[in-house]
Amino acid sequence: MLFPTIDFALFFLVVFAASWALYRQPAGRKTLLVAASYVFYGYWDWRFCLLLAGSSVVNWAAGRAIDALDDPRQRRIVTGLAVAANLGVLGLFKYYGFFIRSLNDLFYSIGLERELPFLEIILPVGISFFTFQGISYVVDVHRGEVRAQRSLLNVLLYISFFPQLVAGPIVRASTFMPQIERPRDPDRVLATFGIVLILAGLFKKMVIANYLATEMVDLVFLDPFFYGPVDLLLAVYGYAVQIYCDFSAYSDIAIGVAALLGYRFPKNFDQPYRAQSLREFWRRWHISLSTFLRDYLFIPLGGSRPDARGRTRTARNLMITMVLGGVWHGAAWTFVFWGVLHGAGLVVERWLGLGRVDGERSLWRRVLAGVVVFHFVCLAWIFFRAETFDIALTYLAGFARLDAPIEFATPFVLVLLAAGFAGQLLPPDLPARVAGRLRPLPPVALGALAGLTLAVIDALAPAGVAPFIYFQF
Amino acid sequence: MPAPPDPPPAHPHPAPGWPPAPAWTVGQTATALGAGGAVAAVLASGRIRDWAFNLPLSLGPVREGLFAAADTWHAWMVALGASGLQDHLRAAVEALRFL
Repeated sequence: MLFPTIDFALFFLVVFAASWALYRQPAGRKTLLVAASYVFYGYWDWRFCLLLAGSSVVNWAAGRAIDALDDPRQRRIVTGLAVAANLGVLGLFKYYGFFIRSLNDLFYSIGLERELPFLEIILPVGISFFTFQGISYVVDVHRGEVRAQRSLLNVLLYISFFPQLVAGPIVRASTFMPQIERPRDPDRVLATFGIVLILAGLFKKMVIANYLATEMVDLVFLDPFFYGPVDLLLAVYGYAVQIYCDFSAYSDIAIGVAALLGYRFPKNFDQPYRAQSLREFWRRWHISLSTFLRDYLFIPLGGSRPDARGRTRTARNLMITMVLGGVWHGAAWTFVFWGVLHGAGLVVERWLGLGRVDGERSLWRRVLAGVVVFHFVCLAWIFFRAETFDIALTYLAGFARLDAPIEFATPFVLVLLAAGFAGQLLPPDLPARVAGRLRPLPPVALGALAGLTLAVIDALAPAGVAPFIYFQF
Repeated sequence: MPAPPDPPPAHPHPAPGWPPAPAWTVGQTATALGAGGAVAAVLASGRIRDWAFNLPLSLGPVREGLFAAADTWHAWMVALGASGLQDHLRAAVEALRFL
């Protein structure tokens, strides 16, 4: 079930009404939300619900086991097994085919004709997100940051909660579980904030991202050989805006929907293209993933250390973290290379001492740094978006094709790009500010205004419903 | 026994990373959602008709009934001129697209 559909609107209205009708019975409310989440997930393929339930039960049992053990070594072993189980499920469904294909290619290249068995496994939607939530739960229990849950229902809800189930944000157990444990307060619903975020998300996704994809980005990336430097540059700028508007829209809608149900999720995007360093970019882009990788991978690997020997280890840890971050997005060498580029960029930035951004920089240095970082990110996006390495290399080679005609520098595309970039320059607290301004309006007036805005967004959007990019991850 | 509800903070933050935002009651929220749904149903009646048309055929008479209702609703909204806003906006976007 996709957010910008009438199916979801009807589904949500029913869940909203029923869940708040049950607010005096927390267990009943949670049962309803779990059932709704499984309906939401089963809409794609009901068989995936079994996987989701299995993952939740394993993590719940692991949490109970960790809690029951006193011996730190045994606790570590159980935690390790639970993390391995989560990663095993992810590996089987997401990476099995990739590794078998890569191994067969390797055998073929060295003259071995033997083929390893290939299984066609369907990738369950959102598996990367809910397995990471499972890992967050067991690791947070192990670290004592969250209580092990006696209630299986709480863990089922934590892992399956429908607003963030299929494309994040990855809400940490230590953030979400305390909210699940306590009854929600019907007098403190962040309604205006939630509605503003949902409408902003719908505009970004349905109008900006969808039009940029269909009008330019998909066409250019399908076969970049036919285009010259201006179109290629516009298309990669377009993709930068598209993926931001697409993914941040999903996060905004998820956060807004959760807010209407009484839950508070952390911010997942913070105007990433304003970043003046790659380090800052990763503090603004997909914050829930970057902090997850930092806290559950980079720091356990050793993190960063200032001494000479530590610098090499820091570089190694950064590379491992970013390459695995790339692989998390998809089973393809283009994603691996995307991670390598970001890892190498972060390492070089640290060595040159450019990672820390202070307020002392002059305006032109800030602008220059922002432009350089943005173009580095765009370079990496080419590999992220291209179907194959060859297409990415063709894309880059096209920047030398100076005689090609310009096709996509149309007023429509430029308006879309300008609208997308404008979002990076607005005050970061705009949704809360707008929500504050709308607060004094009577609910009927605010609702009517929201309905009008929804109809306008619907009118401005291209026909059809495009899935969110991050569903494939 | 369920845990007590969160104590009301002086400046309720929506979530980590977000600035303070005002809160409403569920009743106010439900009223706003209802009003929003009604206005959207009036102005975007064409989309509702398309949705009903694309419902699975396996729904049988339910689908036919829903489509008939959505089609009638859209016809009323066209007659009232309520769908005009969407038509004008779509025309403006098309004009910009091919500029």
